[in-house]
Amino acid sequence: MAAARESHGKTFRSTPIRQIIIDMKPVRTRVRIGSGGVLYLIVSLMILASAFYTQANLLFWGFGLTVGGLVVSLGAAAVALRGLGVSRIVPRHGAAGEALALRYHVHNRGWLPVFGVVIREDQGRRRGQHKKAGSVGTWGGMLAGAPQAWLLHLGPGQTAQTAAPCRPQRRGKLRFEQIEVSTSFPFGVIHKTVMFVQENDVQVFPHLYRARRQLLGSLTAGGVDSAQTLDRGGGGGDFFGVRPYRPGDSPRNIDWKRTARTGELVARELTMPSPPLLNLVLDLRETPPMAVSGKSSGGLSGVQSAASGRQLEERAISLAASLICDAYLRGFKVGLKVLGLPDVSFRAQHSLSHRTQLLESLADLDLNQPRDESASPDLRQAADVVVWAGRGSSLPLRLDGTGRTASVVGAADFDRYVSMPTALDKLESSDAKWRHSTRRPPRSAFSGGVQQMMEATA
Amino acid sequence: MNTALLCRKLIFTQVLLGIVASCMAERSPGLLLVAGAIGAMSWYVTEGPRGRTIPRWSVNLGALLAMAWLAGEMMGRRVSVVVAMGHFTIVLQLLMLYMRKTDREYTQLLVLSLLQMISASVLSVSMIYGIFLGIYCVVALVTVLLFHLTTAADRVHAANVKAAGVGPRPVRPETQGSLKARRHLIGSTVVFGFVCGTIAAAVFIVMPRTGKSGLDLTGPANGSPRQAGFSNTVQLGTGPIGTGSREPMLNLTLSSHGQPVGHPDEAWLVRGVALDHYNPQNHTWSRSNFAIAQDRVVAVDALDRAGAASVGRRTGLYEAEVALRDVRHRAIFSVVSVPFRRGSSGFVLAGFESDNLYDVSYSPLDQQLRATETVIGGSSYRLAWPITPPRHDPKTERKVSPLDELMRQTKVNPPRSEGTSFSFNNSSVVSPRGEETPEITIQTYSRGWNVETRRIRELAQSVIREAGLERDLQALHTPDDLAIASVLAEYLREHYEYDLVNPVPLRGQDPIVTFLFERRRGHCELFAAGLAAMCRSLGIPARLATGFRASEFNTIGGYYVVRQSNAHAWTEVDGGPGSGWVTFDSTPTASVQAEHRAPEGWLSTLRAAYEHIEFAWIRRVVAFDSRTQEQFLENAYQSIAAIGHRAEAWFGRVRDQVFKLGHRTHFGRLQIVALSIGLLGLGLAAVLLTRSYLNRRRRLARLQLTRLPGDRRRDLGKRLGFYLTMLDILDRHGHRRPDWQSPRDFADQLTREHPLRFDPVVALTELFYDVRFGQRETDAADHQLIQAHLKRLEYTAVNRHE
Repeated sequence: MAAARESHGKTFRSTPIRQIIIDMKPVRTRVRIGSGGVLYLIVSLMILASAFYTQANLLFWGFGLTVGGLVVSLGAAAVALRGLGVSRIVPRHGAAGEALALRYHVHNRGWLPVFGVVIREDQGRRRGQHKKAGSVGTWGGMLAGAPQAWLLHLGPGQTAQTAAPCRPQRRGKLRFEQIEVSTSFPFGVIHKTVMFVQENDVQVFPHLYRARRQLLGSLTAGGVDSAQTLDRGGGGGDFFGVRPYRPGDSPRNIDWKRTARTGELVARELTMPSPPLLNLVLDLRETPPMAVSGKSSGGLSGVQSAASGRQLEERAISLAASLICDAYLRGFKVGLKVLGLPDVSFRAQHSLSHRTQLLESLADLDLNQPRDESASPDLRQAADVVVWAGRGSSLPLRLDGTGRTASVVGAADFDRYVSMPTALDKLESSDAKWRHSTRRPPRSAFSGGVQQMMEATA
Repeated sequence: MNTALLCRKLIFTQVLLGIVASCMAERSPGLLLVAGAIGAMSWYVTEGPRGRTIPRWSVNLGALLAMAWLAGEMMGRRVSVVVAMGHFTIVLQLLMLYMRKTDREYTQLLVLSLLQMISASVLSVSMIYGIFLGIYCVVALVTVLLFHLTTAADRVHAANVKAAGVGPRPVRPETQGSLKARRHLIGSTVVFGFVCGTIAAAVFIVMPRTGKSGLDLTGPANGSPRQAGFSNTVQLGTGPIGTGSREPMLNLTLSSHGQPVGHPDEAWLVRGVALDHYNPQNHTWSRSNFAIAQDRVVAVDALDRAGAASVGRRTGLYEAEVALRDVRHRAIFSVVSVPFRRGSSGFVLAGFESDNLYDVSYSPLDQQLRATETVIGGSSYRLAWPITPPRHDPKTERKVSPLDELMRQTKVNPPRSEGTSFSFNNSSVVSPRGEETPEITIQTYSRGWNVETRRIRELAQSVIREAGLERDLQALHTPDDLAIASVLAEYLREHYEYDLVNPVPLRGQDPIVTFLFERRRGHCELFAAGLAAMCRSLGIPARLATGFRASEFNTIGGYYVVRQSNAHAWTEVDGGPGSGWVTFDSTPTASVQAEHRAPEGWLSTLRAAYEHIEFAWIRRVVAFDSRTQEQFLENAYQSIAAIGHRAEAWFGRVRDQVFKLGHRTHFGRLQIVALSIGLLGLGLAAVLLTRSYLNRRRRLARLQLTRLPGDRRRDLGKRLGFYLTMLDILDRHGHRRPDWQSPRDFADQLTREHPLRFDPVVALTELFYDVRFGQRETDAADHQLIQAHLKRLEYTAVNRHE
């Protein structure tokens, strides 16, 4: 793997992964009584007390075995995890609510095998801070807990890969800082931990949902088949005109008849195709009230009444992201403007990197920033679709001063736009009922695609 | 190797082993049958096709009932806490085997099983139990290792489920180990077991022992085997008695002047209790309160000091080491010679030594020894008694043992209260409480007979009259007393038949009278009681003694094996001043010998060998006491010192040889040191080369290239290494290619299971065939492709559900 990795602020480029792992040095080693250690000691003392009380020699033997187990545990803790190197491999992007491929390359350059290796992400425990109480990070509420991976066995000189399930709950920047590798083999009495520092950032996109099939067509004026040709030459298939030949033109474009007639090289020019366009405006200038009143539909009434303004804004961002992805898949050129927050404005383009930029910008939106309510009118007038945190409109909104209309998509009517209604407050709640439910929660149409996209854009 | 499944099986095995071992320690075959069957069935019920479990509330209810049972056993049946706890843990484990188990329940099962083994270890001294304990420890070691791995994976999985929030549950960590993981785990287990065993042996040896147990295991239902022969009281006329089992009770090692004494043709009597009081109401011989009142508690050290070095110097001593096999009671057995026609001298204690006992009660009146505390199984003690009878004290006209002076200086114990009595009369059959016994003095001790006295006396007189003897009924002692006893014993041996049927006496008749006048046949207790009755009817003091007849000599170990079936009873008759108490055995000798004869044949030889090993186990392990500890440590210290001296001498010789070599070869010290280092390096290099060669051989064998010419083999071995790497990756993730399967079939099988996931396997297998059979040369591009395939395979193998 020659991907660029960052570790200790150092960038590895075109470096074999094993070399990266070998270069990784643990910054801290810690040995403590393991989870089963207290129980082990209690049982040992109980056997000792029984032996002294009853003077039964077999119990002295049994106590000797427990002492042996303790010595073995200490010895194993002394040599365990020595020569172990770990490297984290993460994609640059993920999506909220989607599984994030968090993988680890583990290499054992020691001469003893290791068993039962637990690899755990740790945050907020920088050097010298590990003794602080409550220093375990929560990744800004983006993760419900530290991702953990497990390896049953790693032989001497062996390299293995393992994965930790990780599912970000919110959009934003997810920072991984330290990798905690631990084992309490053989008896769980002594728990040895080594800590590696490797900082990686993952951009977590907003929740991506499956937009209703006809949504994009109904929102844009020309529908999804509104591909047009521009009035200028391009690489299309229709004839546009002729012009004098310029060096670099393909010989196939030479209009030989006209050339023969005029005596000069004349080239045909074809029309330039123009994909459908979607100018999306995310209006976050004002925060809706805490509860949304009015009509509600179906099973979302409870959700709507409980939805706070911040949650509606998050829904609006998710709706915008979902529309962007849907439009990209359908060949739209997508532009994005965010009202209320500074410096978010993208011209309409159609490319994977452009879509990634849009999603990144949505992921980075900081709703705690002060809002700028004085947006210029031209921003609003350039919109095809306006997404905001309030109610949507079934009729196109006629924009002032121009003959253009824009569709208004409201986060409060979330279920009108996504095919599978989803309770966002449940998604954001750490105590969700989904966790132990056998029902699968809705996944976006890009569930598989997001992974591939993340790999592709890494 | 699926550690989770294997762990469940091992825990089940461990729990069953603990239950079986506990039942064996309690010697309860019924409990073993029931608990073993219920426990074994639990696997089928819970892990079988239907996999049903019982609800938790019923387990909790069962646990409450088990607690009630525990309380009932301890308070109602007065079962020892150890045995009761053993039953309690068995019930709890059986309940938990049938419930749905998580890691917490498995942990509880393991702890309960361990507690059960602790209680069983207190109860049993058997070597079979020791073997079970060893197997249990090995199983427990493997179980704990695997259980730790499984619980670690479960904890990781639980944390991931919690962290995942909504959405599909994360994939459970893979607990399927590869072949290499299994090898490494087995190796680690062996190393851990060896280290643990070595440290356990060291701790076992050096741990200090007090020898004083706080447990009382002498209750009626405490797991000790029932004894068909020996008991503290003798009740006559209770119908047939069994011969007793052939289970060894104790081992008796005899020596004199440091030389072993003992022979297969020579028997000894192991004396347990002297019974001087006969109750005609319940036909029971017991120890009188007068005799009990003579008991004095004496420190073992005092007995040892008083043991009489002086007697040993004058007459020589017999020494006996008695090793009890199991917890029985508080009786301490002494040894007397088997009497012949004229009887043999009674037991006179000259010395007593034990590491398990602090003090004993001793009565000079009937030479009765008894432990004042429960002795945990496997205890041993050593006795000494004079070879020739003790001196005669003209002042008191009594035979005096070397301990008598000590006894006189020792305060006489007050009569023991009923609650704390540890006398021999505390059996449920005969209790001294409320019993109207005639007042006994030293003059009337073991005298008088009030059951059909006239009739028995006439019989006795007629017998001695035929031998030309007479006795004054009022005289305390006469010179002919021993001769009379001898005649009477001879009469019983010749005219009565030995029989274990033990007929029930006629209605309203005393069993002794029935034996003497009606049935004229019976077992040893009737013979002994009949002789005592006839002697007492003539005015001669006589009492019953019970114990064992040790006649089975283990030639392998040089000791007597005393079994329950060797229980015996005989008579002790007071011969008066100058003679003391003399032992008479009126039971027909030939019949007793036939009854106690050890079976012959290879099976008995095998059994003798096993018992010898078990005896060694008991002496070296179960009965390991402070004295043995001191001896062992002293020997170990001397051995280490000797090894140190030898090593020092060897190094000195080597150094001299090296210097001589230097002188001969004109090498300096530096050159010699360099030469040594060079040789050491060469040796190390040889080891590394050998290891490398073996590794290469193993790789070639896996690739099946061993039959190719050398250069072709080496070339292909290098180029086909990628296939072995691929197999290792697959093996780590639970896909192992059997030896019989071709690479192509293996790849086909994998792609049938998951076509996309194992694409790299197909590509690498095709490359393998191209290289192996198609003479294809691999270049840098091939190597890059191979690396890419291997990485992808590793990735897809890890993310197996994607």
